[in-house]
Amino acid sequence: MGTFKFRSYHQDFWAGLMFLGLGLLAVYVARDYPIGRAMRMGPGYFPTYLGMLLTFIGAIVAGRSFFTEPTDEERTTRWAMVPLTLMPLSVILFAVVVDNFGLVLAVALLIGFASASVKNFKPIELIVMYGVLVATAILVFQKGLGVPFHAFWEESFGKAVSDFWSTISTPLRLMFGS
Amino acid sequence: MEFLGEVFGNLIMGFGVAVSLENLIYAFIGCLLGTLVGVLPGIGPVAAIALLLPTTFALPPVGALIMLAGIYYGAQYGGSTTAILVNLPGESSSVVTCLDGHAMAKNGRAGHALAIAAIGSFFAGTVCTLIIAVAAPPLAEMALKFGAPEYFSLMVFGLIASAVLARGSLIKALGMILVGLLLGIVGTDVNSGMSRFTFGMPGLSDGIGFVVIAMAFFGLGEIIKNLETPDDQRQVFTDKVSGLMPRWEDIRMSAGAIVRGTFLGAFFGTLPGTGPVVAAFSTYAMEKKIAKDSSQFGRGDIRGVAGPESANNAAAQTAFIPTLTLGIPGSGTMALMLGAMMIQGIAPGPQVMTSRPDLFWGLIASMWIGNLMLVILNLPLIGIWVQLLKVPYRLLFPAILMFMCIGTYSLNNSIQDPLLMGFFGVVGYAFMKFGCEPAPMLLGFILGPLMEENLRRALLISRGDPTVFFTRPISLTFLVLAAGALLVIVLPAVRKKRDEAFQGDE
Repeated sequence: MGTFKFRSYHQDFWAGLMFLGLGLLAVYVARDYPIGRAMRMGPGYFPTYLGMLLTFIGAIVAGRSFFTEPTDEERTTRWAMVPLTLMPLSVILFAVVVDNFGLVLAVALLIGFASASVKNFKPIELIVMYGVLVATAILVFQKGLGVPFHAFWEESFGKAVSDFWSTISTPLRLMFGS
Repeated sequence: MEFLGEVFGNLIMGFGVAVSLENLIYAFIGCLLGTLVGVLPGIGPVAAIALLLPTTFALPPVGALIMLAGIYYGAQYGGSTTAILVNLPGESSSVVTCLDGHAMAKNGRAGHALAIAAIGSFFAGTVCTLIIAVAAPPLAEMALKFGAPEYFSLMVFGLIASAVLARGSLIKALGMILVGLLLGIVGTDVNSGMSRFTFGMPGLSDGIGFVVIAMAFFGLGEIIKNLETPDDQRQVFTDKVSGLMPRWEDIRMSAGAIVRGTFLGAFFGTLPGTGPVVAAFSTYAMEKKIAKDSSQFGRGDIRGVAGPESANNAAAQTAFIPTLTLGIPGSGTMALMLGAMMIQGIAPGPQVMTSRPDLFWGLIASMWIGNLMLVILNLPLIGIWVQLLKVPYRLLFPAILMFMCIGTYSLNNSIQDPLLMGFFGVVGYAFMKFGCEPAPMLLGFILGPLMEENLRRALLISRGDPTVFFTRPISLTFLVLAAGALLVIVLPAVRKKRDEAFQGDE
């Protein structure tokens, strides 16, 4: 056992903190669910116990990081912030756009934003890849497997814009509360 | 004798179901797609299967299962091809194959390595199909006697075993299991009708789809992780692959390794947890130990390919035993297969064998057909796989990303699933950065609702008395096994061995 020291470069510190947070969150949210008794378990019974167990494990994992020096494998490494932002962003853009504006635009946004996370992409490559992927999406998934996509907006561009606005305005209003 | 006759009769019935032109085509497409995606570097079998699952939803049950079996074996096998030709294996069970397989490829013997991997896998697949056919009926009969306490304890054992057999820290694996269990109960509680952990989002009331979780953690999270390192570190073997016809000499030399690998793999496969990985590692270690001249291991010894590859495939096959007889998946891939069966309206468990014998035996027959199809398919098509491996990652990952978006969208024809995938992809990456393995989480995720239901029922019969888990002999056995597994890993000597096994025996 090593000396007591705060080690933010130890993976276990963060892993434990995450478990701890998730465990407490589970217990906190589940406080509204009736626990019941062992014989007649309520909806809160299982999650509350799981949450407490997870909190306990999180405390041990995080606590351990104060006493042991991490091995090379346990040391935290740099986060790939660019792909970590761009990948989810491109997925979100695809999802938000595809219903109203169709695959052609959605895939373009997806590929464009995703590819921006690598340094060495070439424009021609990108265009060819985009063409192949859009064709696959339309021919195989929309026509072949019958996923209800469309290639472009369904009725008119104006309608697509207004539908799009109503899709995204609700969550935005909820978020910014106006 | 009578029993074997029955098994034989059932197998023939199974082949009667599986061998029709239509089903053979499904098997072919499944193998082709499975290998195609499995070959891609950086995609393991879980992500590959999750990616391809939606393509089977529209098929009739038997056809869908057959295509699934093809996808499953194709994805496993494709990973081995990548391990031999590229020095970056797409999945952890191929790490061992990579050691000698890639060394052989560098010595100009890629063809021999691929051929022996195919032969070993096919042999293992055939033997293990028979093992399933013989072992499944009596096990299912036994499982019919299981009550809720037995199921609950069995699941506890399964989860603990998966944590013990996972790489890295045991306690973090246990934490991941709990995270999975909690994610699994998101949605409407079947008993009270109450929405749990939905955070006011109506879309979450049906729970989170397992394909979404699998794609997020094993697909999206993995892509972000792969983008950390620049593309050009990948060493692709681009010479023409020759010598695909196996040489008699190679077969003679590796026959022993194939047989030993098959049986060791068959044993590990039935245990819950990361069966194929442990099977491959232990077979490699064993072969190295019993070889008279072990100096060539790591430098291109054919036994170092034959043994682990057979074990890998054997374990992948026998992993179906607990899934089919108990309805409890032992690994992430099995959990996906189980989920796919449920979508087809089949609840795997001991009753499937008696209620839908055509499906059960048809599936077993199709496993063998899938294995055969792979041998036929893989060796002639190796040129295509090599071309595929040359595709740089910067072109590959946007394509994978698009297929994941479309795949998740098609689950419910709604944009909610791709959005959830995006969110959990970030979570998955964070867990990976903190050294938490996602595999136990996926198992917990699948078992969460099942566990809660069986716990509830067990405590209901016992009138709230928790000793019910200790007074029923079968249940007690599972709990003792679980405690034993935990104790064993805490003992320093065993712990050291386990760490060594995961170090790739260097």
